This record gives sequence, structure tokens and C-alpha cells, in this order.
Amino acid sequence: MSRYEIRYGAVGGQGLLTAGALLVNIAVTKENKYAVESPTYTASVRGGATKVDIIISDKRILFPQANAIDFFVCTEQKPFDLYKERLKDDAIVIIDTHLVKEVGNPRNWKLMRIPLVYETKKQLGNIVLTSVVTLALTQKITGIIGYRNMVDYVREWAPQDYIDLNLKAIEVGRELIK
Amino acid sequence: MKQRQVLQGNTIVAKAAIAAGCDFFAGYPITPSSEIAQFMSMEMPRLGYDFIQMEDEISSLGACIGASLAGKKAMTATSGPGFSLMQEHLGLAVMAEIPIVIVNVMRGGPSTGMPTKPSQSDIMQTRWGTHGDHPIIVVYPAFASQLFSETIRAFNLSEKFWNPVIILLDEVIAKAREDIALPRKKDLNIYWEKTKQIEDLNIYDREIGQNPPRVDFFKKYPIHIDSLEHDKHGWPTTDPKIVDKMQTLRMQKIYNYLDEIITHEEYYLDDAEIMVFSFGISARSSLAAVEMAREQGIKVGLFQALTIWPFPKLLLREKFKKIKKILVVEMNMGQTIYEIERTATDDVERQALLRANGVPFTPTEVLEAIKRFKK
Amino acid sequence: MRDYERYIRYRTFPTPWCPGCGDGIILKAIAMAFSELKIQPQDIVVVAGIGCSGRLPTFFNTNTLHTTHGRALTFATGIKLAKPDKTVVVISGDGDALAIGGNHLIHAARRNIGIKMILINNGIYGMTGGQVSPLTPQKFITETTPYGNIEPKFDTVNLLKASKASFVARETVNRPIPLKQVIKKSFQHKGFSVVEVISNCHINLGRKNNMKDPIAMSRWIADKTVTQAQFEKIPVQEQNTKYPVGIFVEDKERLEYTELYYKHIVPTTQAETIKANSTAKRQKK
Repeated sequence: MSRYEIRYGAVGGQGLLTAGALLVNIAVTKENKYAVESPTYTASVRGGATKVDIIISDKRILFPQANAIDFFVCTEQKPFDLYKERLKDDAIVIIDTHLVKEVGNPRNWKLMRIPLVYETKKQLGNIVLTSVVTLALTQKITGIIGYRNMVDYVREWAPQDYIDLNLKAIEVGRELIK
Repeated sequence: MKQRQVLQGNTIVAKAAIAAGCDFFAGYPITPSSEIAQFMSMEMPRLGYDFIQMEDEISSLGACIGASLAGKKAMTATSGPGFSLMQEHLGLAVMAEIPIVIVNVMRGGPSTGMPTKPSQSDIMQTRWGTHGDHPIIVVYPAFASQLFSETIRAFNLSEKFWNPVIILLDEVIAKAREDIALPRKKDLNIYWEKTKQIEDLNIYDREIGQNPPRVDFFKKYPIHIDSLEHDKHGWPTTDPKIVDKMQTLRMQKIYNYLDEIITHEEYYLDDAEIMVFSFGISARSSLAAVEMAREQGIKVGLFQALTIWPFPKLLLREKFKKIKKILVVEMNMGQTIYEIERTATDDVERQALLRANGVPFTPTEVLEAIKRFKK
Repeated sequence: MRDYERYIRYRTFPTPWCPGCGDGIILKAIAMAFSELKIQPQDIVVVAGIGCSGRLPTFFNTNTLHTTHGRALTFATGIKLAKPDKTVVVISGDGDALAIGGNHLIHAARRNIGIKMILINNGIYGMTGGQVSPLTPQKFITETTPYGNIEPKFDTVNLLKASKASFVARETVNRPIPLKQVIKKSFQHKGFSVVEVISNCHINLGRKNNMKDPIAMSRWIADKTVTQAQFEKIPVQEQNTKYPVGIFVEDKERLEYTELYYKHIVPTTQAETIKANSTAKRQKK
């Protein structure tokens, strides 16, 4: 795989920066790939529209932002409207069932609506875990990183008392896209 | 094998600074450079080094200069508005010949501009921002590994030439988390200037072209440092003959060593018919574009300036003997293009791809510009 | 040669000051304080900004640094943090310290960093030819207040008190011995100290206000000088025209900044790092 582009769009505080950081770390430290995470943020960290681009490649990454996006996850309407540009015609697009209503022209996207934020809150009790849920569904759909490597990394990364909860979040993410 | 890890651009610079021997940091929070100060506030006390958050950028650079005179390797980090405030003390550091490293993570300007958006529009400010004629060294890394190596180089150059050195960074690169294999400590080439023990006030007494020695406060013989034009003793003077000599001394300590100071990277230039000239994030887009163009059979190469000041004039002139088309790609309304105009001979065709709206050029956009130029 | 003369750099004389200027008295008072405290010249740095006061450091045979207008404290902060065991003295004028450098002054006071500041108050911008300063008395004529100064002056002592300064004193050039004593005392103080010295500028302030020689200005200063006890009895509306002298604040309890940094922050973080490293090692095993 030469260059795979992922974009997460959200509002600040939903933890998608963390999802990007996890993905990049797994790709680099566990799979020895090249990876970069480029965030774009608005003035207020919490509540403003944010996006994070993750590029994973077998070659050194030249341009660190997304140029032709393969995979897009978005959990709010505003970032969806702002950041849907640069999607490939056949991109995989995952949007939150409840929070993104207007899609506009879906071109040839493979569009999936899942109750990402609602289920995270309901099953895990904290929307910060949207990060790990998103990571897990990215892994399952794209296969850009290995499942085993993901679980290993999350186990090392999570604080001692929260390992189980994070592993549960992985399962929630995988269940969501059955 | 060296351990690869994921680090934010700002963090790489901070880590490199510590590796280069930086033991004093004073700063003031400003987007998008704050992570450097945050990292330093964690790390410096652990190492027994100094960190202080000052009341503004003027005082931050003041404190750094004070510390440098007290024998420390000092650094501060800021962005456009803060860098504007620092111009006053940047001039003092040049005048009194004090080693200091300043990181400027550029953001959209002028004024408070676009704090969260990238731009490459402080290039001329780094050259001419402070009043008066002065020499300056500005390095401009683009890739993660260069962030580390150029930071080390910035400290080495400031220490060797007794002059402020500025590290320019692009917001995109400073904020991105990227994979990097940090070099091992024993592989680093760190320059330490030994303090000269002096017996008199004559700290600036040297021949034109000579590198100045490091002098510190609190050594055997007390010294005087002045922001006013001074003689070999550091003592204020307006004697035209002495002023002439001091100005030449300050200029020539840089301009006699251009080979040592100026670095660049070149890609696919050997048989190129078009040369792209760029730096920072724009150089990364340009390199991707050059590779795309090469796949389409277009003979184009990239000149990535790693040292932007002094400007790589001689190197470029050498290239212009063979390459007759140059495309400047920069995220501003036109700055280094003017320097290229002054450098290029009449038979060289010049074009510039310019934009300062906070969105970096994509490789596709640069490729299109290359194609338009080729026609 | 008397011992205090070790601290004076005679080779750089003559000074640029007008005959009768108070700066010479202050120069000697500071040199005598150094001498009596037996601080070695190479262990001292005297830093100053711009103005007539800015030229003072160059006449000290210690390490000296002449910097930008109003910013002497920022350089001194860097030096003190880098070398906490050295004596760092800042000499500043009223325009230097309270107009362009006002922000640095209140923050240095708030931090309580161990810098010894001598704030020379002659009520005027002397070196630029006599423009109004934040400490020019009201109604005074200056080059930029030809119809009389309408702005009130800063109450330096209360400004510094409010900024949490741990040592604040005031003296005048009319009283060189108490001046030397209070400077000496401020040098012995660990935290940030300010000694405001009321000085005369008969050339740029006096001449325009019917005090054209040093004697007239010195009489004016003497007339305005009161003890703190006398000051209390003056009606409030007249207080702003008087200069009470003596020590106003001397807080020996408050920890000095570099002491806090080096004796508290640095060892704590280092201990935490060692602990974290050993825990990490144990976990690996």
C-alpha cells in the first residue's frame, strides 16, 4: 500500500485526535510503516470543528495532509460540511446516524451511517472513548493496521485501571459495523 | 537499529534543543508554538536546567540574552506576533554578538492574522525585521529528521558565530505528529565554544573574518556589554573609523563562512529543465509534485533551501548555468521570488506559485503549476 | 585608594552627566555598599536600560550590561536564574522603569526574583532633553507639557506593594549616608528589592520650573522629603506632593524565585523522574 489517507472530522473534545495518534503510533511502532497525523483546529479547542488527517504509507511521506482521501469518519454536521472536500470519488465515508443529517452529493462513496457517538455513550459511558471505538472500526474496515497490533498497543497505552474498558471499546467499534 | 517513534514537530525541536545543549528556555505562550514551551517546562527542571515563562516576548528574549551572557545555551520559541515583539532584542543580540536561538512557528499574518493556519510570510521579517544593518542566520527545516538536525545546527552556528540564529517552522509541520528515528547521542556533532579568559575589557578585539570567542560574565575579569555601537572594549563610540570596523567585523564573521553556513537539499536536479525552489511545507508538496511529474516524463527537480538566510545565491547561480526555468513555490504573496529575481541571470525564466490563505499547496496544485510552466 | 574605588571603572570617565547631577552620588553610594558587603567585583553584574541612569553601569568595575529602554529587568531575570548565587543589580530611571518598562517591573516584583533594583527618580526624561515622565509632578512644565503636566504621577511605593514586592524603600540624593545604608540593606535582602532614589535634574526639569541650579533643586527635594510618621499626618490630598523616605516593605519570609525553582521544583521533578524510571525498570523485569 503506497499511500492511504484517512480523515476524522469531529467537534473538539470527542477524542478523534487521540484516535489519529493511536493509529499513527501503531503503524509506526508495531508495523514499521511511515505515518503522520496532521490536525487542523479552530480557535477553541473544545466545541469547535476539528479534523485530523492520518497518512499511512510504505514510503516516506512527503505531503503531510490529505490530498485524496480514502476513508472518512465524521461525527458532526459542521465538520462534515467543512471537511468533506478532497474525498476520493470512491471513498469510504462513515457518518454518525444522529449527528450528521445532510450529506449532499454522495458521489460514488461507500456511505455508512452508524450511531457512533450514541452507542459509545450508551455502552461505555463516556464519549471520550469515541477515539478507541473509531480506531477499532477503522482497523476492521480498512485493515490498514493489524488487529493484534492494535490490541497490543491499546493494552500498553491505556492506564492500568482502564485497560479493560478500552478493550471493550475495541469490541464496541467492531460490533458497530457488522 | 535506531528506534522509530512518533513525535510532534514542536516536540522534536524541543528535544533537539536539549540534545544540542540548551539549558535555558524563556518563553511566552502563543499558538502554534506553545508545545515547545510546555515540553521545556516539563523537561528543563528534571535536568536541573532553567525554564521561565515571562510576561511577554520582549522579556522572553531579554531573559535568554541575559542567560546566554551568564554562560547558558538559551532558546525561546514564538510565532509571528511574538516574533514582532522580539525584534528589539534580536537587534541587541546581533549588536552585542550574543549566541541565541529563536524558533518562529509561522502563522497567517499580518497582525494577529490566522493563529491556527500556516503561512510562510515571515521570511523577509527574519531577514530585515530588526532595525539597522545586520547579519542573520535563518534555518528552515521541512521533514521530521531535518527538524532535529537543523535545530542542532542552529545551536552550533549561534555558538560558533556569536550571532542569533532563527529556526523557521511551518504550522503544519510543527503541529503534525510524525515518525522519526532520533539519532543517538554519540552520533551528534555538538559545538561548544570554550570561554575565552580575558585580562582586559577588549572582548571585541579581533581581525575581520575571525570568529569571535565566547566571553561570559562572572569570570576572572569583569566585562562590559553594550547595545550601543561600541569599540573593541565594548565601550560606546561613534568614531566613524571604529564603527566601520565593527560593522565589517559583524558582517564578515558570517559572510566569510557561507560555505559552512548554507545548506540545501536537491532532488532530481541533474538533468532537470525546470527547477522548483521551495522550503518548509511547500517544499514537501513540491517534492511530491516533482515525483509525480517525473512519472509523466517531465524533467523537473527541486532545490529545497535549508538555510534561507544568508540566501543561497552562489549555489543557485551555479544551477542557472544549466537550468533556465525556475518556479518558486511559497505560501506568501511573494517574498523569496524577489531574492530569486536578484540572483537569476536574464536568460532564466521565472515564475512563482504564491498563496497566503492558510491552505498549503497540495502536490496536485504544484504539479499543475509545473505543467503550465513547461508549456 | 579607598576600598569602594575598586568598584569604580575610572578608565571610562568622564561621565556624560551634567555638573551637579545626582547620579554621581548614587554611583558612589552603590560602590560603597558593594565594598562594605565585600562582594567581589567579578561576582556582580550591573544592568541598565536607556537614559541618564542607563549610563551608570558603565562606570562600575564589575560585569556590566547596557541594554534596551525599559528592559533591563528582563536581562537581569535571565542572568539571575542562570546564576542564582551572583549579585544582580538593575539601575533604572523613572521613565525607564515605570513607563516603557512598567510591565517588567510589576512582574519582577510579583515573582520576587532576587534582583536589586535602584530606581532613580528625577521626574523627567533627561537624556532626550526634558520630556514629561510618569513621575513628573503635576503642573510642572516640561518639553512635552508646555502648559503644565495634567497627569498624576505613579505612587511607586504602593504600586510595588500591590505587585507583592518584598523590599521597597525610598531615599534621596540629599541624604547620601542613609542612601548608602538603605542600598546596603536592599543588597542583603534575598528577594526582589527596589530602592527609589529621589534625584535632581536641574537642567531639564529644574530650569523650566524656577529651580535652575542644583542647590535650588536640592532645597526643593529637602522640602518634599518627610519621614513616614510625618507623612501619616499630612492631609490625603497633599500626600501626592511629598516623598516619604525609609523602608516601606521588608518581607524576609517570602521565598525568592530562584530559591523556589532550584530548591523545590528541580529536586522534586528529579526525584519523580528517578522514581518513574525505577518503576518502569521493575515492570520490565
